[in-house]
Amino acid sequence: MTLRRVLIANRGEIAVRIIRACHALGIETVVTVSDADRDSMAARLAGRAVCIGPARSSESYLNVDAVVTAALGTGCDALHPGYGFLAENAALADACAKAGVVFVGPGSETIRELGNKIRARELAVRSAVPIVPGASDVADFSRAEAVVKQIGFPILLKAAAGGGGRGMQVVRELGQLRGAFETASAEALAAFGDGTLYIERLVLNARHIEVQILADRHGKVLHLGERDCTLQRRHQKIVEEGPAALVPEPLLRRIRQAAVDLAKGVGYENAGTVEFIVDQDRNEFFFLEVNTRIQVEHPVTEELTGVDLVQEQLRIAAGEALQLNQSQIRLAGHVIECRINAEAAEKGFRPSPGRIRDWRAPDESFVRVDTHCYPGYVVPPFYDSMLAKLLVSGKDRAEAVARMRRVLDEFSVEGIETTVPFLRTLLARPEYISGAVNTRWVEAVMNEPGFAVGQNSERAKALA
Amino acid sequence: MPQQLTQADVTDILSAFERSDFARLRLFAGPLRVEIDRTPEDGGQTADALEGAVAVSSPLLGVFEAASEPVQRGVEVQQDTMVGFIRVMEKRTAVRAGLRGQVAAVSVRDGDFVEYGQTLLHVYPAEGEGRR
Repeated sequence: MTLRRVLIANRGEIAVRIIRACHALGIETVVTVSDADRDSMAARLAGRAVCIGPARSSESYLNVDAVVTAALGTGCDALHPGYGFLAENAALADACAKAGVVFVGPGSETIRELGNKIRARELAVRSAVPIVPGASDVADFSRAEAVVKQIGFPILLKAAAGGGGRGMQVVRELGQLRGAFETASAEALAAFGDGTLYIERLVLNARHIEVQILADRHGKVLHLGERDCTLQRRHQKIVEEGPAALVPEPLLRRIRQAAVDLAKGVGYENAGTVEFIVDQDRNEFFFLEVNTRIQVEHPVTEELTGVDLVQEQLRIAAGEALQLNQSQIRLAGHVIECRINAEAAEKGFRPSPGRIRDWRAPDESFVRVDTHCYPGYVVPPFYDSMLAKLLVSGKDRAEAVARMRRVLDEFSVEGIETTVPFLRTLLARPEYISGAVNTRWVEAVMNEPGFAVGQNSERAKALA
Repeated sequence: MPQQLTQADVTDILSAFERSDFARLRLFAGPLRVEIDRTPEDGGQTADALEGAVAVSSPLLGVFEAASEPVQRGVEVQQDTMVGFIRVMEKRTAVRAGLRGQVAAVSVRDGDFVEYGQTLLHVYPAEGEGRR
């Protein structure tokens, strides 16, 4: 089959991105908008915009029934969920199947299984993909000692029953183990009625490496190389790049293969990302999770490989076989992406919605900007604060880093505060330039007394 | 970039729309933006004739279902008069007039797909009945 008309159940830059991919394939588009997004760029680009509810996303972009009704009411034969909102909601995939609408993504069972962290780890183990060493059955202190003897320090102790970081303890040496065990176990018992603990090795000097996968329903699974997303703040990615130039090539080959093995093992279909943590001290890697959707940072891979991932998603959803072979996938040069958010970094990254008075994005042959913003656009206060993704390509990492620093200087947004000045400061650091960073680096640097988002305060004054 | 449309082109497009039975036209060409909506029911109703009328809009996206006694132009409604339902999958939500007055125009038919906020009907408010 071929897709005739696709409902884009999302907003912002990814809605614009998907609309363009559809139009390039000759597919008609309908975009869902909330009351706050009626005049958005996506609404203007799509063949039709349909208002699904009020500004509040729980009543619009997160409303499964409204989204499926919109697809049916506008005669769409497929639905692309983008990222965020309902993108990894198995109930939406089920509702689409029931309504006879093609869901552009994996099947609901895959979404459900991989969305469950414990189940996903089991599936990784089944495909011989390494997971962080640990145990989830630590009911008494002698068991804790035995586990720690096996996996080594430092370790993380938390309740086996609960989610999140509740009662989490970091233990760095044997002498601290008993005290930490007793505290964590008592907390777990109080909070969940079960004192059993979960212990895992804590990787302090870690890189975040993720592998892009494409898989069709005819059994072909390809990897499109990896992205290094080590620069994070509170688990939010800030800068992404590829390939992972700072991870040894033999290790990278094993990581890419592990991602393919896992995708094959679960019968994966469509685009997906397998995330790993790399222990830079021990040169080991471990599975983290699978994201069963297109990701924010997918353009890094597109610029490296020349493959349009969203178009591939649409073809796969239509049942087509992947035309590419693994040997045809080449990673050319180095690509860096910065997320530009409407946030005031020096005020604790406070969101800064409002009217964009002036918007000047750099425009050079090696630059790509994915955005839904333009001069005069009013950034609504209801949603994610991302305004744009700024990408540069270079022949190697050094050239890409130099280019990114240069175009960040050229990026000018007036009327609202953005993270551009923060990115300028961060990317000027020698650790970033050399690549000697880990997943804790951004927060560590920001805590240094000398670290100031220098240019930012001047700009803020100029804006006031 | 599309070529700039001339005044004559726009006039031609507008008269083509007039002759058609389309309800809505949206045209974007370069800096030009034309959007026209026509009230499909009660043919011949123009925006002028609805002056002073208050729009009753859909509280949800879904499929409009007329009430067992469909609301028609000219009938009197009370605040709690049910003017129809919006069906979203299996759920049906009643829509009430929300004000007292006389129906000026009905813009939707039973079975129509309606967006959130889309006008279902217009009501001339009764004396002393303000906007909700």
